[in-house]
Amino acid sequence: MFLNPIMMKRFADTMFGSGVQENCCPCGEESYNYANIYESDNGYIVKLALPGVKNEDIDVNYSDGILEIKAHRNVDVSDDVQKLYINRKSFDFTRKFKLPNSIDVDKIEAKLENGLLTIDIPKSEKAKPKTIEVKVK
Amino acid sequence: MTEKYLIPAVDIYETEDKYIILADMPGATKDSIEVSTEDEILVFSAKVSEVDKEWKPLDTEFKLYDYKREIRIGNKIDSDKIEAKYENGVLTLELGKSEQIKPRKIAVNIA
Repeated sequence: MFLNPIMMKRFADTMFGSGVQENCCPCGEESYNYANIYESDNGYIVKLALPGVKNEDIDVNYSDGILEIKAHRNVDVSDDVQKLYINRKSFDFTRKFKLPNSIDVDKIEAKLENGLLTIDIPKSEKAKPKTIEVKVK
Repeated sequence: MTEKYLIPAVDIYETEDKYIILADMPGATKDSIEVSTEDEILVFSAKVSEVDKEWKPLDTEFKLYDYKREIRIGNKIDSDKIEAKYENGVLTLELGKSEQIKPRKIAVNIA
């Protein structure tokens, strides 16, 4: 059976869907390399949404101030099922981030949980804000 | 406040006795996943966990909201035969076909 993408979409709408705009996670486009970066007093975190990616399909490296993230997924289907509607994409990307000097390189940690990759990047001790007590005489 | 949610991308497959739906739902909390059928519509939804308040966003390229999707299934599914599994941020639903739509052999009597 050969169906072009537009026909496939129409087919899904009538058979299954309600004609809605799907969010190819996470941003509605065909790309999965989008990242969120957060900062706190203690460090930074980088988050990427990588549904369906296994631990072994992710590579996180740090070298010379650059954090490099590689990830891929193959959306494979066995031949004994019939494909009615396919909208989840395969992907393969590398993304690099320049990190500030004020981090503790040895304590960078990455974890993958429920399709969400979180990289913890603690600040080095001297970069953390300190409260200095002022003594009033 | 209007309810804002993401409509997850899905793949739908068919085998002889069931339909299989895969939905990308990264960051959902397992306990919050709900699957139900009502009036010939399958509904699945999940909540996502928030980042702690101490973390200030520096750069936000994507937004995660709770997930929800409704799929019209007509009379194709036996609602007692629905199985759900959530792994690596992907929800897999296996939907057993209802008896009336399964292919059956019709005996032909030739007089």
